[in-house]
Amino acid sequence: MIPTPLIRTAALTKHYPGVVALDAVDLIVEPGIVGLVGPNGAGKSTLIKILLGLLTPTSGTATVLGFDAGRESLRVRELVGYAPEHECLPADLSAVDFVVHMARMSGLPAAAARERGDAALRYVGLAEERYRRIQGYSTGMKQRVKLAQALAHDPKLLLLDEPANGLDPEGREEMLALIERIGHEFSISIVMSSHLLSEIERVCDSLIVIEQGRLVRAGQIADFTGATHLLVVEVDGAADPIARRLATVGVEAKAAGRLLEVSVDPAEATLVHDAIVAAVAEEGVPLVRLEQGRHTLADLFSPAEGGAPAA
Amino acid sequence: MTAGPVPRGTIYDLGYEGYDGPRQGRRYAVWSLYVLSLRSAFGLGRGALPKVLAFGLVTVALIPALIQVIIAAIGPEEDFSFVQPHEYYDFIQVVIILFTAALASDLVGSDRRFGTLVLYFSRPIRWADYGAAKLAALATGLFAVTLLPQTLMFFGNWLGAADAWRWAETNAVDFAPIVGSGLMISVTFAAVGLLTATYAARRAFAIISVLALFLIPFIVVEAITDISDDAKYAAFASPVHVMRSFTLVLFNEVPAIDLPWGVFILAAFAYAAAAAALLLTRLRNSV
Repeated sequence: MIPTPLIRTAALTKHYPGVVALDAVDLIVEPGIVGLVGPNGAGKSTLIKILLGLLTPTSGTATVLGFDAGRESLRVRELVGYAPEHECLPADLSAVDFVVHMARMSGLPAAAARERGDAALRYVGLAEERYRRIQGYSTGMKQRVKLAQALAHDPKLLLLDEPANGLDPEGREEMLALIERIGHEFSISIVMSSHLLSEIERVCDSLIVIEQGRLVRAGQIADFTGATHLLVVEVDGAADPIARRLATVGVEAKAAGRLLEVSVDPAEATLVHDAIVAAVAEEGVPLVRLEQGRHTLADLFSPAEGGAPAA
Repeated sequence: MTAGPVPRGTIYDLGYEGYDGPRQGRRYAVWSLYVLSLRSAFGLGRGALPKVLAFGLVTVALIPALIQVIIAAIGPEEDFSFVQPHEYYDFIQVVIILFTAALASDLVGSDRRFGTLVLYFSRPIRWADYGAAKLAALATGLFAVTLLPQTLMFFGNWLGAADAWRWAETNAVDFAPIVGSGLMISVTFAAVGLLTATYAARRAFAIISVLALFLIPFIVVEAITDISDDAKYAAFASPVHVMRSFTLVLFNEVPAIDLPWGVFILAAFAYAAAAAALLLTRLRNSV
């Protein structure tokens, strides 16, 4: 039984001397994989630490899984797993000893902790290596141990601070696949922070954007990145003449350098598609790509899109 | 060379199993931390070096007691004593300090150095619990170099006495001071040692800092008390001297400074309480 919403904050504010880390953040987070995105210093880690009861907000309230993050932080922490951004693993212990110990620290009896510790390391793909000391692990393996210790006590919610940071592209992809699996197959809700929109876009169901301590917007990823009625055409030459040709057949197109953006009524999609191909052929320039335009999350940070009120 | 999604079933296990069993909460978590800290203080679950260091120092701390017990057992004169309980810690002072420095730097140093503290504080424990568990673990560890040799010597002397009944009549009175001084020294050294160790970023610096904090005041006080009579009050700035006076008072002996015995009792408690309070506050501010 997971209470909904997972997380609720009301006018959550955190001041540090001279800095406003969080500025009156109102938030409702529903179960799923939630991306917490914003540039470095936006207040992502501060928010996560307040949710864990590690920091006391200057004002406002935060509720996690139905418990007050400050007054009932012990209840919250029993049910939440946390993996911080920075290094946090003891080099001289084996992964299994450490994860089992952390499961006990979360309140699991010794036998259950051992079982869950083994399982958690298996889930993150470290079954074989778990008896080795952590000091010999690669960055990717350490990130997995961080995830395993957060997973060991079967939390209802994982708070992951930049889980793919510092990994090479392959490791990053594996970590994101793992997060997606935990969120969607294991059905454990996840709030993961990242300064990279592409990561969030890759795995998250919904999104919270914060910048300079303010909530910029929040909502389902699909709402942001849904297909637009826009075809993007790239040619190996000037796009302008093609736009003029299209105008003559009643298709409105916007040219910019070698790119052409064409607004499409879905009912006429095939016709427009054919018209574009014909126009490109007539103009005699090679067609590089023709695809359905999608908003990327990067658009959120463009000035035209920013500043909309959050959910 | 971007890898696609990881093929399932190659690296990962099949399904996920949840946990519906009991979650035992704060007291159990603190107890777990205490047990693990104590184990790791003696190198259990770790490499050979910490084991050799901790058990080696315990062995050295036992040597005077063993000598005394052997003398008591085979010695011709019944009341000959090589070392008395109230002076035992003078014999092994350096061992206790080394033991404190080595273990304190490990107990709080590694969690800080590796950044593990935040993982502990994201568990269902309160701020003070972490420091309290570490303090309890080191104090318990220190019993091995304080209470253990003293009790061994006490019972060894008793067994070796020609007339066990008469020995008990005169020496049973020492048992409470043995326990009291052992507890006080262990807790105070643990608190002062851990507090000092939190200020050093590297393990070696932590060890050196703890050694310095105990030894430098000790040496200074030893040196200046010979020079001037007033200088003997400097002993209150030396943890070792405060503990020595406390021990002497408990054993009904006379400390070097001519002050009411209550002053030494108070001073010892003040040291232990202040160091413990500072330690807990300091750990709170480090996440």
